Amino acid sequence: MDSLCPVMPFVPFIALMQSVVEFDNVGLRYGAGVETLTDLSFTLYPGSFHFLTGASGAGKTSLLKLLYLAHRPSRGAIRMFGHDASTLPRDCLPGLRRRIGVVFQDFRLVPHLSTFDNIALPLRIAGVQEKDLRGTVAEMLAWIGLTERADARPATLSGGEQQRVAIARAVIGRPEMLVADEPTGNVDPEMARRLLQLFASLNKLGTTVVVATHDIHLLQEIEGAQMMRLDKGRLSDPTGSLRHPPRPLVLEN
Amino acid sequence: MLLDFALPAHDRKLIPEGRLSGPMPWVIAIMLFLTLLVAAGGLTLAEAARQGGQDFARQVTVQIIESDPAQRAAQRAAVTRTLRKLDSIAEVKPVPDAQVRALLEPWLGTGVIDADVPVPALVDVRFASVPTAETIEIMHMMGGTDIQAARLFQRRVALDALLGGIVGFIVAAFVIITVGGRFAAVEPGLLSGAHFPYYGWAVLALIPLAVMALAMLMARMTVISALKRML
Repeated sequence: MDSLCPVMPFVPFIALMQSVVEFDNVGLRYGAGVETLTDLSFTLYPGSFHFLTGASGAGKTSLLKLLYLAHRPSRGAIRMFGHDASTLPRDCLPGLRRRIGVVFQDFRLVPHLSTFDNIALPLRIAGVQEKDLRGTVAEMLAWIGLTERADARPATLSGGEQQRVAIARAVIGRPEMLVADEPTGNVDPEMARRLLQLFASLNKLGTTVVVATHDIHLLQEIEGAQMMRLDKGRLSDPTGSLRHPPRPLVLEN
Repeated sequence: MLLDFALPAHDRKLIPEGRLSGPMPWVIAIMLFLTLLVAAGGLTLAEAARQGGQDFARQVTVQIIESDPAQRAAQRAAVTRTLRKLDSIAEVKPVPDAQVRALLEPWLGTGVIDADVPVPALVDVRFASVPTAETIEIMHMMGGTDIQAARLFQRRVALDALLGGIVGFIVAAFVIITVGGRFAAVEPGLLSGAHFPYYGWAVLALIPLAVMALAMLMARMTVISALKRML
């Protein structure tokens, strides 16, 4: 599979100060319908934190789908981790997807797998050995407070518990970019704060975070977070930070 | 090839033509009979599975027969509690007594069934399904490759096919041995020389393996074909 994919030397993007994602005049339409997303141009840098807001139907989920490579744009170009994701051969996309953590709005847990196995899934897909992943998954279970439910199937978990499992699954591989669709929609305010703090912790380690939400009050929870607002498929930029981003965070060795 | 049947009479006389004499027509008759039975059974099962299959496979009704109403209710509650703890069960729904009586009325008559008539307690149970396509899609979105997904489902299908093949082989072996024993007891002459050779067992044992290989191939093609429709 990888033989035809462009080889990029592994250098943390944060050190190179390269963009994680660049959208250049991107449009998306489904079939022959009108464009769901129109003329999107923005850049996301390593270590940035973005809240994506907008009314229902504004195109938030469609934009997230482009970000987690479920779709290619109908026009324009998307560069991701230094690759042209708009034209990269299909067989090369799994390598990029493993660098992205996704929290789906409907959780998408595998129904016949236990909580433990659902959280371990990205690590297993990435080829991590069983002996190496057990401790990591156990720590994550403890963090989300579901150690006692490690063997439970999703159908027996509450909505909030399922959401925590979905988030744990998205972050366990320490992704370079985290994309979350309404990740705090089913949890109580205390758990919502804890989950946002988890995102913030990852963000401080260099993970770029994009959180789609209706709740603009969440913006106050994360220092330095930027807002991307979608209105009828077009992106407005109230903080002015997307076209003129602040200086990216630089880690020093 | 069919023209070969149209031989002139003088040629046909060269080799005497039997009228169901000798073992060959009988052996072929038995083979064809069994083949047609298997084919008909397979087609019937496939049609049944196609028409009602999924609901049938995903729902059963537990019947509790107990004449004492109190004990019957207690047993129903215990069964419901136990089933609800199982991960593989999606829904457990006790059927109300009034509904059970309504079901029986067409057979027993209206007003005949009162509280003293013991009717069974019923509990509807729906099994949780294993949505293959959904699992494939989730793996795909997490960076799973087509081959990774295909391998998983190949393995699952292979195990199912192997288990089914072993069961089928055991049943077939039992029938072959039983029928073989009956033939051996038949008056010599009619089926003289017709016996199941020892190497035949090796040939038959290969059939479940061939079925397993075919099932794996089909699973691989199906999964990869489904994934190719995604980005």
